[in-house]
Amino acid sequence: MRVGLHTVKPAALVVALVALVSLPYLVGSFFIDLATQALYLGLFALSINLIAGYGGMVTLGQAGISGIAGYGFAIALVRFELPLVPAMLVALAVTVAAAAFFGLLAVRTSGVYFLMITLAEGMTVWGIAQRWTTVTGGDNGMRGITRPGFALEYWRFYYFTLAVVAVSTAIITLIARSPFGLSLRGIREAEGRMGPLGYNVTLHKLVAFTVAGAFAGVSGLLLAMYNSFFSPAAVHLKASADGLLMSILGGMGTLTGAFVGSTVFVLITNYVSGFLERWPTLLGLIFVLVILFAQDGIVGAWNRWAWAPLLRRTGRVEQAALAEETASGPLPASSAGAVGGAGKEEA
Amino acid sequence: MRISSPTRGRLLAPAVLAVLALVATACQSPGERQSQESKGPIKVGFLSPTTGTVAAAGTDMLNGWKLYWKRNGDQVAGRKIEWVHEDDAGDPQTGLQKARKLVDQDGAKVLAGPLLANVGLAVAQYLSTQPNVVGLNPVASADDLSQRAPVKNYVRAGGWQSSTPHHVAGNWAADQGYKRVLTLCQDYAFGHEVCGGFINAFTDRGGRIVKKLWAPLGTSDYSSYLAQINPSQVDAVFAITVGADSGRFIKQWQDFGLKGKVPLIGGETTLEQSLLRAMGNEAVGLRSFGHYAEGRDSPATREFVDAYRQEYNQLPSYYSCATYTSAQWFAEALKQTGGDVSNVAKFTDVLRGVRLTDSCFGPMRLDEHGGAISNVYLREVGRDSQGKLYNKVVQQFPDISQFYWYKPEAFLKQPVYSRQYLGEDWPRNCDAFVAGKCPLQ
Repeated sequence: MRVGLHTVKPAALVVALVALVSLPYLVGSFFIDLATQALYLGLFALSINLIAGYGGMVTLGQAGISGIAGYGFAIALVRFELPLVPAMLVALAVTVAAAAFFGLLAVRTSGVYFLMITLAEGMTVWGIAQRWTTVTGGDNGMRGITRPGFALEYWRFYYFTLAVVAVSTAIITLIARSPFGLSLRGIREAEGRMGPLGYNVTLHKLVAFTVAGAFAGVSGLLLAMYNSFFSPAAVHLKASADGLLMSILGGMGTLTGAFVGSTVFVLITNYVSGFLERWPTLLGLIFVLVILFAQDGIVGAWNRWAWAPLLRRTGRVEQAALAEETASGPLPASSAGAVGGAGKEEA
Repeated sequence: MRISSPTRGRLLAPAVLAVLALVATACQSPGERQSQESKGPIKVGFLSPTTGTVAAAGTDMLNGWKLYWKRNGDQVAGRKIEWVHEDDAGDPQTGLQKARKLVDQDGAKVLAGPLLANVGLAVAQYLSTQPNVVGLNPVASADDLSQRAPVKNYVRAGGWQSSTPHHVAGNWAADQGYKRVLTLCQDYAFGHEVCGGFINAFTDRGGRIVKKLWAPLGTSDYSSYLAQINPSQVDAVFAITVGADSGRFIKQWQDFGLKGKVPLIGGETTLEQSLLRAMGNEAVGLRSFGHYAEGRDSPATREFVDAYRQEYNQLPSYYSCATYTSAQWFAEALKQTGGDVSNVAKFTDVLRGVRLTDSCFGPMRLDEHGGAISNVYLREVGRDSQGKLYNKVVQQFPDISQFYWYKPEAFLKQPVYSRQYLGEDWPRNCDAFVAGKCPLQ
């Protein structure tokens, strides 16, 4: 068997997973905290990617949906004193319902109108979090959120997060590659044609929006448990925009991109900021460079500049051509797994 | 085109491997967070926002902190104080992450800061899970940090509570014979607590709040609010504004011809020194309440103000005084333990027991709940010999506790001040008051 993408990619995935699992033995607690953040933020960015990158619905309200999960969880725990698991389930159920409702309002529109409606939805959640002080604690936020008993220590919580994010990513990967995911991409490319072909466009978009909302909810739960604290800042437009930026930075329409984007984002805001006072400038500069020179994000650029030439050298000419061709636009789904710059191939 | 193997097959092997690896490693600890040595330098992490919307005040915090160590040396009780600054950007999530970084990465044994109440609450939550770290809270004034949700190792060293100076303001307003007051408050937790303090005490004296206006943080135009003030129907206006909003509010207060016509009672941050720097004549003569007054005539305040002015060529704001006092407070506790911070629970007790006979705020100590007891000043904006605006003291109210004239037990049974609860109808009888202090008619 020749060495090709079909063997390289699973190998890269295994290497990445082994690296992630052994990380707590290699670096200190500070970097494990950062890795935990990169994981749940990556899942958040991935949920945006699912609807924006695959469905072509760019949202600015995703933090509102993940915030419903975070607040729902905190309120169930603190105000209703539910045990941990029921509180999570209640929070997720509420989130899915809210995402479906928000979706109903939003999916009939597209483009900038979709952007404005989701922005309004996200800020509505923020407004409620900010103003309904007796329930949400207002600007002071909510304290007293607990973690599962087996995940109290920082490294145990890291493994917990890793497991949850890995399973979620696997599910999203399956969805993205399913016939449903394909028709979603069809809608992104030519919404007007999919209807006459017999697809229920609105329903597809609504289901995608709701599923993405559920995973945003999972990331919201992880965030709430990670910080043991939830405040309106986590729901604010800035959080939604950050998620979208991570998604764009890593590469829209790729599954790996979300995690690459979140890792770069977390490292700059938390690590580089320790010795570079002008870190927001650096972050802005990186975004400008990505938009100017690599609109398909870091993963897309990797595919074009590193992956395709490599394949060409090893003689896989037709694959290299394919990689180059598809890398010029938003990448369709195919790179599996959480980390690493795996190439693409058409199924 | 090659046809790829089914997705499921490719995902299965790594997934099984990952699960096995997880199970194998989760049983074994990869090592605990690093612990502190009991000798050698003491590492202090200092958290204040030097970027973002509250960067100016955050820089004042840093300046005050630096000034103390510069004037007094970084050796206390035989131990060197090494401090690291981190920027929390005025955001709770960033603040939390920076607090973790200071403790984990820099090995900070002591954590000082931050500025905003919501960031402070996030840091407090973190500290409650870190019993081996001492927290100093000079600025974050959320009432509940020393009332309904205190965190033992997060000590208001040089700190205050949002509502404390404003209970005094409410009582004072009634003393002036004001019966009908309109309140204009910033619509977030800090504004609610400040206004709650004023309204609770003022209505206890039989005062009536004719209208409550709530302006969101970042209000650039106050005209729609000011237009609702009818000078013939109000005896005074109580206003709390924060940051750049204050400058715009004070300017428009004059532009609307309200200055000199309706008495204005400002809150702690409405006419704060860091904001006065950008104000002009429109602020002169205006009055406010606060636990800090740069014009206070006492050696401790004067020395601090002179030293600060020499170092930074401006007058110090309350943010600078707070961190300066926090450093002083910490040094005082260190002297009492002979430089020993190894037992955090014990050191926290010592910190809580510190009494400053004088500071740039005046005398200061903590009550048994951890709330600061300090002076409150009625201040008036004037010009100093160099023509700079500053707050001079008109009247001093000594030893003001966070419970003011209420019994602590009764006060703590009420919720924290919010838009839903401002204490207007509470208390209904004299049981809730400290003996002999009941103002109800």
